[in-house]
Amino acid sequence: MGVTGVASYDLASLFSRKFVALGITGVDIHKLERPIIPEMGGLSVLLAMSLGSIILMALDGDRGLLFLAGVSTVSLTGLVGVADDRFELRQRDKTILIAAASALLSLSLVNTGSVWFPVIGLVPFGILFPLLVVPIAITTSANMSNMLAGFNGLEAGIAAISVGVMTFLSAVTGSTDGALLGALLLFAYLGFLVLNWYPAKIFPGDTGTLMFGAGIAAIGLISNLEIAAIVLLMPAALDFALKLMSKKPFGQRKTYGNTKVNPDGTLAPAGYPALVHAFMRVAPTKERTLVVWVLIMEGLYAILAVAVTLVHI
Amino acid sequence: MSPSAARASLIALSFVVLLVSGLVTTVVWRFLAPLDPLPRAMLSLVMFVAAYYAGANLIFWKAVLRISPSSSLPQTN
Repeated sequence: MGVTGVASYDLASLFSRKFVALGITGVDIHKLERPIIPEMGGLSVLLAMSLGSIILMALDGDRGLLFLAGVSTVSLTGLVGVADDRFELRQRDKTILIAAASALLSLSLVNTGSVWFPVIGLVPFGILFPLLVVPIAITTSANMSNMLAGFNGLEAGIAAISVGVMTFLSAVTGSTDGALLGALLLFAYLGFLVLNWYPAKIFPGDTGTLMFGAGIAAIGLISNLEIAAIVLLMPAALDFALKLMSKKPFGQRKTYGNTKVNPDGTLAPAGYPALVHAFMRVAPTKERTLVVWVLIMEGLYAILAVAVTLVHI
Repeated sequence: MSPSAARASLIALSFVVLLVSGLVTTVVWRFLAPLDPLPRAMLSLVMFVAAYYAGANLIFWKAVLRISPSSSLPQTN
């Protein structure tokens, strides 16, 4: 796992230099000086996780189809992110491609037919589980994670907290495949977070954001921890619900513009509902403070996810 | 309200939205008792999503606009 973390950091460091020369960059619009920052840093997470999983499968003969299916789902979703970063895929195409990326996971979970929910209990989905539940879970989680983003350390921080909790719960519930997949992703995101934390030296891009959403859902499905995954996604779900209120839920930035930076460094929200805009509206907020508070929120949902799971098992 | 209290109240509000959605789901789940388990669960889950969306709009965002000192900012369109 340490190899994954070190590889992720080293690759992100390499990409932060090379991508500037290649023109794979974006403007950090939440700073007064608006620096140019390399994009698509999530590629380091993707490559580091892939390297770690190859080493793990070579050393540990017990890893079978389920682990491979989890890795393939997350990796293919990462590749969709790469394509999105380079060619700006349409929302519909992205959704279809990510659903297709979960095909091997659907196949490997064909005998899993039910999901436990609080109050409701065990819901017998039967054949709908591999056909509908798995692809919908992966694509919804990935796209929601992609929307709560855009600030230094936010995506990688949420990824570290949520994947960390899923890894812990997988280990506690005895799901080795889920725990190992989670540990690989966790260390990869921690290595990346060192360079992505405020002030960021590299951005994750859609590669980094889509992948951890798919990762949370994949671990949840592999380890039968669907409800924990749902609870961990609640801040992103709230952000998604708020954005649905506006006329163009997937195109607000084109319609309303971006968040602005005031001369004192505090952020002025764009004119559409969103979770980060709520924090900016209720009190003067600088970027780092905003990220810390959203991570506190994610941490509290992580505690709820652990509590709900431990009460259930 | 201090900045930290305002931000903490937002987080608390998000849990209120989740709690209310959970309560609505519980009521619907009991109301649909005559149905088979799968349609009963599916309808309850759909109600959860609908209640959460409504809660985000009617509880969370309304409260944000009320707490917000920046009343000149554009509101929900």
